[in-house]
Amino acid sequence: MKYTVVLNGCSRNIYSQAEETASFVAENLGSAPPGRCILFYSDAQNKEELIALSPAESLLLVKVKQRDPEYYLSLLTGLLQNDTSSLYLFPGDLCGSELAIRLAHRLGGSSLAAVEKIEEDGEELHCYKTVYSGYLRAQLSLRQKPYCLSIARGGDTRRCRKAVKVLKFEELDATGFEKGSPLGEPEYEEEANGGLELEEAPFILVAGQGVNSREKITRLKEIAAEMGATFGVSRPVAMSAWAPLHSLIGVSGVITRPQLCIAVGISGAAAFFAGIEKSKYIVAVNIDELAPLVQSADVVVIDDYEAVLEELCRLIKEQPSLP
Amino acid sequence: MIAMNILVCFKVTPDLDQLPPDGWEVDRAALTVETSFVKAMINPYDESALELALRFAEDAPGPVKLTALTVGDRSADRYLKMLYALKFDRAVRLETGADLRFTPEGIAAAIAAFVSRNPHQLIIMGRQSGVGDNAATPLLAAEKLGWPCIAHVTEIRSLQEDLLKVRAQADDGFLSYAARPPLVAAVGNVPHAYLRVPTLKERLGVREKKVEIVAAALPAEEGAGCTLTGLDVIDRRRAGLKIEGATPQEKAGALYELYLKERLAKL
Repeated sequence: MKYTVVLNGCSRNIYSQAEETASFVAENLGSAPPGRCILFYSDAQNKEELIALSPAESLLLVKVKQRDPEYYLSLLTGLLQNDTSSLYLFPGDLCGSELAIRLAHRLGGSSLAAVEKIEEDGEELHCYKTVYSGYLRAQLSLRQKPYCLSIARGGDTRRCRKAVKVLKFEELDATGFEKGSPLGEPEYEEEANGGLELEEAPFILVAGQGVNSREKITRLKEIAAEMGATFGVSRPVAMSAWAPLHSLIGVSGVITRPQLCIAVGISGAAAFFAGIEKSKYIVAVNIDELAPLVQSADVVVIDDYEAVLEELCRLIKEQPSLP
Repeated sequence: MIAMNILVCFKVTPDLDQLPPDGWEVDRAALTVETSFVKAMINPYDESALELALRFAEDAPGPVKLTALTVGDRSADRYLKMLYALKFDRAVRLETGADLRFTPEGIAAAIAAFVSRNPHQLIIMGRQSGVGDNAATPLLAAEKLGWPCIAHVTEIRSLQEDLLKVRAQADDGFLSYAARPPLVAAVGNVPHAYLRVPTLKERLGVREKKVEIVAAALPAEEGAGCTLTGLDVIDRRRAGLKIEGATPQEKAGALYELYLKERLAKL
């Protein structure tokens, strides 16, 4: 199956975009002919670094003046009018998932977001993804080419990625492309860390709705810093504005993959659990023995989280070398 | 001054987090799950969309007409009545009788057809809902109408009569647009955007108002859609070893010594 990967090099999460798509290609398209990558970038990025990230041997670098989905979509629609790829792959981040769905419509194909695995079967493409808020896995079959898919985030990128040498390299300067977006150029406001620090952290402390006040969330954030952990929260905490949006973990936020995750006051809804599922080791601290997370953690403390965390923090700080 | 017509689309969904881990039973032949005994709710992203629309109408410099629209069965009517009480001008339900799961193409087409018969300048809806988890409906509605779309919206304000300020989450920050309608806004994570609750007086005031029910056939998917061909429960169980101890401090000590000390040293 002829495929094309589309990456957004203007976003600071380009490394996880590249890793996840490369891993997906290796797992699902190993026997397909070498694919192509279209990578958007601007003057602010290091071109050599971006070239090294290509998950395909053929690379088209497209220099852009805007970095919003509506603009990328207009560009792609023009670029791909005569393209013969059967499959377009996008990263599973906000931008990639939007592009996959909308591009399929414009190219007369079919689409799905957050796909974990694919199998080609004659005239259909079987896609596997989580549904029902992450509690179930569905097989959904697409019939109409081109297939435009975004990849489920948090895929296993720890497997050794086969180095891809770019054999065919082209550049396109699209900075003069004036019919880009009907919305005009948006103002971009960078977030200090975005979710990137959390995404790559080896040790995280996560607080949920059981931590029921802004003051207690602030104290847990301090404890996380003292223990050497990166702090995150579940959706209800972020929706109460007790922590910034970029610290939200789960399907609608950051997908983490730490070595160690301590989850405090979290019931364990599947949409949250998807954000810590890739953790190598999960500790749950909860007063409620029946919370679903109790069954999904490696080790569990059923007790008052405040006393447990204060003591745990003291013990970790006493050690000569902090993480 | 001509009123701006805003359509807010919402979906009533089962609160899936209320199902216990062993309560998921899939009918593998019909590819269905029994969720009828679970409490229903407005999809959380749509709840934020409804609240943002109410705030927009309150702060807009000119007149605004709000229409609430859902596609579904009569279980949605009590929510539509509540939206009347919250000062929505119209409350409409498209009745299809169809299985609405995994049909974003069809639902987007039904929304687009409604807008073509009932002109609106702005559509606000949640970015995704729990059952399909595909975040496609608002994007496809925009495509079918040929309108621009801003996804993951966190704020919508009126800058002047025909100019909106829309702020949206991006992967590493935020994008702020000064946009002119028509526009589809797909609402994402918005702190402090829980839907307000009408007073008893407001509820009583709309007791006689009727929900508009419109029979609608979901347009054929014309091959662009997907077919559900399998459904399985995901088993996420891990060891779940419980730490014993008389006090929280004792438990913390045991957790640290037995399970964390070595792991932390290796980080």
